[in-house]
Amino acid sequence: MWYARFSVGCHLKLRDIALQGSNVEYRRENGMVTMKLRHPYTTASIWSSGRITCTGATSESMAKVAARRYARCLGKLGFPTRFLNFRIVNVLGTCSMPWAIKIVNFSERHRENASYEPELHPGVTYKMRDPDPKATLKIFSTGSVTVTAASVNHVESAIQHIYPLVFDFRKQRSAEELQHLRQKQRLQGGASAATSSVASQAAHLGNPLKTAALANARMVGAKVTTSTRNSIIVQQPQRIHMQQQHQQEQQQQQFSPSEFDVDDLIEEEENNELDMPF
Amino acid sequence: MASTSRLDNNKVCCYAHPESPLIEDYRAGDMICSECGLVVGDRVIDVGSEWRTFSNEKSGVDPSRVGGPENPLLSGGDLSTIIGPGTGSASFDAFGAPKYQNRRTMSSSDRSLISAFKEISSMADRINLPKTIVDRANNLFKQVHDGKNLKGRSNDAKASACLYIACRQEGVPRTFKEICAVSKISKKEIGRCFKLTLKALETSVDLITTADFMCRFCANLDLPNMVQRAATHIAKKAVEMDIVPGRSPISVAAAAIYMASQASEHKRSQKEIGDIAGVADVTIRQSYKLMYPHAAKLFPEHFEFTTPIDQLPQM
Repeated sequence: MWYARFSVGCHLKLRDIALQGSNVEYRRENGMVTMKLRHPYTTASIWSSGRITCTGATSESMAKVAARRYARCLGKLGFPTRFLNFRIVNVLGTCSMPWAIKIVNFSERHRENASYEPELHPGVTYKMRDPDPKATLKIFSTGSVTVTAASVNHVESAIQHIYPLVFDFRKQRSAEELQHLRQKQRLQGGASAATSSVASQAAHLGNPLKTAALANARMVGAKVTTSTRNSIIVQQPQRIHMQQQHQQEQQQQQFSPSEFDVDDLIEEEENNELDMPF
Repeated sequence: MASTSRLDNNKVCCYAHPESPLIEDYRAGDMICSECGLVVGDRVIDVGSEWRTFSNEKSGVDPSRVGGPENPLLSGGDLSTIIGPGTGSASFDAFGAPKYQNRRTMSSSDRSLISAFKEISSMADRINLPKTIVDRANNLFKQVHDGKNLKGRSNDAKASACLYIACRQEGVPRTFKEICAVSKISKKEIGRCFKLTLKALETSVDLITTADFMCRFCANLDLPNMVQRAATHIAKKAVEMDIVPGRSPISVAAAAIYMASQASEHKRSQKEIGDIAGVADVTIRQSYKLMYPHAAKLFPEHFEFTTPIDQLPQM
């Protein structure tokens, strides 16, 4: 998901927008109006200074289209709007490791970068502070990782960086977690037909990363929401790592996306529970 | 009477016996050489107290002391001058109002510090925290107050966050909800200030464990020592066996207390435990469901079961 920011270059009267606009919400304590657009499905926060923040878009171009639509919408309400300073601030990507993660031990080892407060948030917040990539990752005990960074390349390099660190703290998924994942995949079963069509479209465009990632999207046990169907789930680098580092492990062979279906994968995981070294 | 002979190191001593120690005679105010008895220093000022104080004196005022104890956290050490309330008729002007009303310009830069210290102290008093934690919290507040990354936050939020960190650092953590209960700041704001404070002070705190809270929760629920020890054991085992991944230690502790109390004769309902621990009873139910299948391995060896394991409630 892309998070973009731009300005319309004039002062806005939030009350008028709130009263006349459609699909808007006015929160006085925050001092902003929230407007949602159906297509592309995005949410914008509008401040009276004219600054607008647009979130939820599924690609950079869509973010720009949505931003222009918002500016147009505000223009129609009678404000002299212009389209200024559009920039993409953040990209959110999600990724799911095929194993669970021991977050307590992980957070103890990486104390300077990671912060885990179970009372506040169930995930570890790992901030990467090197100038490149500058990213914030949230790591959950189920194995999902969400990355917020300045661009898609940053997201990829962040995941490449975090993979070996998290690999040390992997653990076997328990039976309940596998059940959970199965349920989720059943719910998303309708979506998988659409995913494969998107995958074939992406193949047309010839972008190898997108193809593999979207094809992987079917088999990944991620927390799939409607937007991640199209967003880039960066599974690819993880596969590369596994091939390079762990030739002996049985798991590695299973992860060629074209051959195996989700349910087969889960059954194989279950069968291998006893054989796993950890 | 000898004059005070000052040698090169400016110490008073007898000129005949420079190395001999001097004895102070308080009654006469003399310093006498111990070797030859020469009176070396005379009219030594007595630095003892001017008034005598007795232990059964009811008045709180100690005439030997001027002002309250020095607070090293305040800049200037509280040495400023205060204009006191007037006595006698000359201090009142024609209308009967006291002249020199303004006694409050004592330390303008420290005023917010002092009010924050008072706030920390009153919050700590409500949950019965000892003075060491209050002092530590005051120290943290002073460090944070001077810095610039928490500048925009309200003083009460900073005070609550400092109190939370002080409890953690002393090894007796309080949950955010407990601090919320004695403060008027929301949990979200305290959490934000907490993270900012850790960043500002560049420290980190240890992770909370289930054992930290057992004592308090069990005591609040009136559970005997046997049950408390069993609950501690259950929670520790559950975390070691990792059957409750991703659950907050508070929820695991609450579920462990539920299991232990249901197995003994002092049964407590999930709602009661949820009230004390500050977790919702559905959360306790979730964690309990994860722990129930492994109940036999979780209990300690010499536990007397009033209700055996297979009759434990299964929700």
